[in-house]
Amino acid sequence: MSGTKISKLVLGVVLLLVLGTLVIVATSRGDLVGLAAEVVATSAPPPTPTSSLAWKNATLDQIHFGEPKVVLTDTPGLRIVRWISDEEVLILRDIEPGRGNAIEVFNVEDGKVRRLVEGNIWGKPIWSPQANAITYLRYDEEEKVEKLIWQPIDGETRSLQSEVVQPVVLAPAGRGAMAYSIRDQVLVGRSVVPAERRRVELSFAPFAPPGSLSVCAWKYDTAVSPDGKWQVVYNCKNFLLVNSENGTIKQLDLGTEVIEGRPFSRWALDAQWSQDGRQLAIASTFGDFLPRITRLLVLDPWGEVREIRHPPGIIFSEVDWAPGGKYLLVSGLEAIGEGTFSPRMWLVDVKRGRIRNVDLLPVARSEDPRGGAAWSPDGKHLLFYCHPQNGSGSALCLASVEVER
Amino acid sequence: MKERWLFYATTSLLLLFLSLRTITLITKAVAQEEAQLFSEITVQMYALDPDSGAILDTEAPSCRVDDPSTPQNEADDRYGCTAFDRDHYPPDQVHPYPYITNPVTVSIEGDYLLDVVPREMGPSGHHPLALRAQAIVARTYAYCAIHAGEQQGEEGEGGPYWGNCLREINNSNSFQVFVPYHFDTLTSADQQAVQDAVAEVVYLTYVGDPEEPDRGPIFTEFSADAYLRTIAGDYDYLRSVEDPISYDSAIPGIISYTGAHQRGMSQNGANRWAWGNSSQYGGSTPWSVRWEDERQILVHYYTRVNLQNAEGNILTPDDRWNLLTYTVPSEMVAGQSYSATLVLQNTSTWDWQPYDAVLGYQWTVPDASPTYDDWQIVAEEIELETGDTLTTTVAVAAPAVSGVYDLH
Repeated sequence: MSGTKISKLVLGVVLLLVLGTLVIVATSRGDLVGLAAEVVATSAPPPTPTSSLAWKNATLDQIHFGEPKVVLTDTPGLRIVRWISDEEVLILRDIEPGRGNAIEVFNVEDGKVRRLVEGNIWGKPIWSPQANAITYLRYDEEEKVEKLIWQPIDGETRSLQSEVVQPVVLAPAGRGAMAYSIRDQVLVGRSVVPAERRRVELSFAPFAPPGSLSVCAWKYDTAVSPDGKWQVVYNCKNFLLVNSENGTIKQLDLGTEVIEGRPFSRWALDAQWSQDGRQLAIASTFGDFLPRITRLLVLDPWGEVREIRHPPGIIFSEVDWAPGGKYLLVSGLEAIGEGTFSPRMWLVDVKRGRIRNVDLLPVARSEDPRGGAAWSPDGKHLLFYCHPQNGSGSALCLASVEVER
Repeated sequence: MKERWLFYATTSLLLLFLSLRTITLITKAVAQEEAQLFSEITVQMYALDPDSGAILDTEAPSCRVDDPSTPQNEADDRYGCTAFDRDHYPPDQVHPYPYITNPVTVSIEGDYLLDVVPREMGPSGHHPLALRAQAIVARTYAYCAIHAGEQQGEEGEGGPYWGNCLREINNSNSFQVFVPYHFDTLTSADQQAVQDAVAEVVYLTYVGDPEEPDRGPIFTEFSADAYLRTIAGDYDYLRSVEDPISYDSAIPGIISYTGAHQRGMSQNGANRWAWGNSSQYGGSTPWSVRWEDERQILVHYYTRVNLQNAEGNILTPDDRWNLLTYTVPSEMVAGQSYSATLVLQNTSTWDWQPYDAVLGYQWTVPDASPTYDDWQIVAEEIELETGDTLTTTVAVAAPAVSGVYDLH
């Protein structure tokens, strides 16, 4: 018993020393490195659960998937937003043509679907775990403007701001939200939790969405770190690290691809924080080629953008971390002929750069490619868009996941 | 001491001579009996995967049209059905699927090509000459499919294809990516570049047997890139041709990632020839040759073809050649003999037999045109199939008087 305790103590000290060294090394580097070090130093990761240790110790071949089962049918125009607990998933679903879409909570255990809102919702809702609320942009048909909406899962819906577009970011401590005002060139919104309605604002003019004459047009996406302190906001021009607490925004450089002497800046299709908030996985591309040429990048704890090479003929378009920060589920397309692609999923060992096919049911492609698959927070389930074997069409499928010990 | 005269030959303006039986590089207008020209195209429209350009993998990928009997606007707002799609634009800026039918019949020149050409070859960074070649190839590709639709004959014959032309024309990457409003998302400079590229309504036909010419539009397969040489397709005009300008070590990677089949025109190769540079973007590694006419690009990648206009006139001579590369000293000593190495492609509509074509050279003062006479013949027994290339080293005697000259 005491021997075990001493071993754990020694292990803890060693881990602290290693982490401390990493921070010192990181702060001696450039701007990006300094920022990443700041993330490492100030993030407060939750205690590592036993299951995470199992994930960290497992090899790629020790991760097993159970027989998938269909859990939701009638799913055209559906995309997975994210898990909000170990049983519940936020989904965004198209409703009848011309009637917009709906945000729903789907319980994978009992199969129940709870509709939170329907209307003309633009982009994916953003989840605030601190406030147990979602925030999103909704077009008001009467006033003919986009509004930033704040909606607690079990509370009152509020409009935080009118005449705004993407990006949407959370206010400090996840207690409200902001979106971009074209007129004022700022991110503007309100902090609404617990009760006050305090105006919050962040200068955003240098990063304004480029509008129609660009690949990304008005689109911006947001990924929030687990503790809510950090957010990355990205489009085809910018990849921004937002410190939610002090309101600073720094541009991160994902690197450049040079094709025959012409440089192309990388930009992100999808990004996701690891559960401990210390790594960021990025499905990136560059230029505006069809089919897209993609790169899988990981912004690691010591501030380096590392590329995980994948074979040619594969488009990596969506990333999702397994617990433990060692494995990534990547969704995308594999070329199976000239101009013909098949939706696929892969499991990626981030440290070793190894890639394994995830051969479950035939994978389907969500109408928004960034919404096709997601791990549950406890790592025990994988929810993905699929083609059921016993019928036509597409559905949501759930596969159990086991880590061999 | 023997007097030596030094002179300079301006190789940057070098035009090498290849004399043919009846040499003419002047546009030859020959009226044809069967002018193939189409003004409209009918396209089956689908929502497209934004990462691949393929038809969206969903139960209902077809673009929905607006139903006027309901108050809701039901026209499709997914990418592919419109460039102003619901994912990239706030709801009040979305322009849904603009047509009232699906399939839709649209003007080829006034609508279809304006959206297709910039999607297949983005105008930014691409050479105007290559963009013009792309426009001709895209137009011909569309004509071929329309022509195929008119040749259906007995029901079911040939399945979904007539020859290699798909009978069903759709807006995905299995045909040509056609996204309504794509042209409207371009800058005004890029819009102008596209309009310039499609301005002349011309297309490619196959000469075939000169006695029985088939003037139908050809199946203009094209590919993102090709490494060193293209790959032969299913037709005589899709022969494998050398593409020495496409040597960059990055090209195999581009081919792998884009799944380029390397048949027909190489889009990146077309840009390299237009820039006269081994970079498709006109970088810092100039090539010895730069082409200044899109016809050179087209007859390089497609063999035994002609360019034809709306009136049925042929705009390409039967006798023609392309210089792919050369090595000639930029400075020579007057009166002395030097070696010149040339790589020539027979881009004529016919195979060269000995004495059909001869190779010679002529010096002129800078910017002067060569005369019909005064050629120094260096090779007469040239035998070369159309589309093939000849690498040869010939002796060139420098002029007796020093000065600056052009070598033709």
